[in-house]
Amino acid sequence: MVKFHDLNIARVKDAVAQKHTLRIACRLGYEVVAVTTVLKNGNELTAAPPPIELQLTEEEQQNFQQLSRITVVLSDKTNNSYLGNDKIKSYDILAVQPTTEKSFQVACSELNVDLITFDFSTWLGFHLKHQYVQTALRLGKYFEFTYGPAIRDTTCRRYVFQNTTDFVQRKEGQNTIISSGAEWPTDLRAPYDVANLYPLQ
Amino acid sequence: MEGEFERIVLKSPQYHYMMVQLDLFGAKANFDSDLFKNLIVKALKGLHGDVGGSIAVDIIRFEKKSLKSILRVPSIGLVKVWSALTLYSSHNDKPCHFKVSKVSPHLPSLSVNSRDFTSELLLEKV
Repeated sequence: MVKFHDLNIARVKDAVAQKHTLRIACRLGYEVVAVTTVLKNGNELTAAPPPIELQLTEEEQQNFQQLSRITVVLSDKTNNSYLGNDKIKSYDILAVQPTTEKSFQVACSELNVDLITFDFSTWLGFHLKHQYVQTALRLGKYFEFTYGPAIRDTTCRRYVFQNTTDFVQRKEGQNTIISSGAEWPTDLRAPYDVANLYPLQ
Repeated sequence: MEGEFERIVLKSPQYHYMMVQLDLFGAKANFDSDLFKNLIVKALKGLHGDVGGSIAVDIIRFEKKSLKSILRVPSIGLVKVWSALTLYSSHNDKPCHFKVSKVSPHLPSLSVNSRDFTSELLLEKV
């Protein structure tokens, strides 16, 4: 049976708000979610906070699996050797978000990561070179983008569509994950609604 | 009695029917079907421009209390209408969410959900 995944639900400080978001995700039909901690400065890897798992009611917990995910924002100055850190290994999923062409090349070819994610709410700053994308696909990596910015802000929506169209045309849809990046329950959309956004590209 | 049946195959439906509910996250608003239609057209124009706004969406049923409705959408415009409703996120500066619960080319199939059938129903004694 197909299980719907939402691999990017933003971690917020308020545990009550976080539980509410997870509850809404469960009600919308998602069976696997990943709560994402974002490390904005890659050099603070050693100070990464521990992963969390929130207790929901038993009925909700039955078909609902929570995973922990950490997204590290990479720039040219990030010291990538820390990615093998024990604190990072305590998370279920490791993702990186490259912000420059060099960090994108390193993420595709050298780093041992599961997911390469992008912030499509602004201009990416670099082009996705076909050879790096092919290297990542050969190594079994997945690419991810979020639809949350398109819902939150109408001006970001244009950037999201511009970037995703460019991205999809180069990759022809292989190994792509779409997730919500939801900070609030209002950012979440049901799985079939999200699947219907894809033909727009 | 021998079972006689006629099979009708519809290859390309002209219309799709959607069951949609507007969730205002607890905020109160006085909606009627005209205002609801305006909202749908606004969502279409917001994402797909005037071309999207020209797609003929008809409201077949509208329930004021729960803000549930059944829409009829031309099949060629289904992706545009569905995506516009998905991405529409605020009404009068308050967050809102169009929940699409069912989509089908056949209107009667919106009234039931086969997953709600129980085994007692299927094994009813005649």
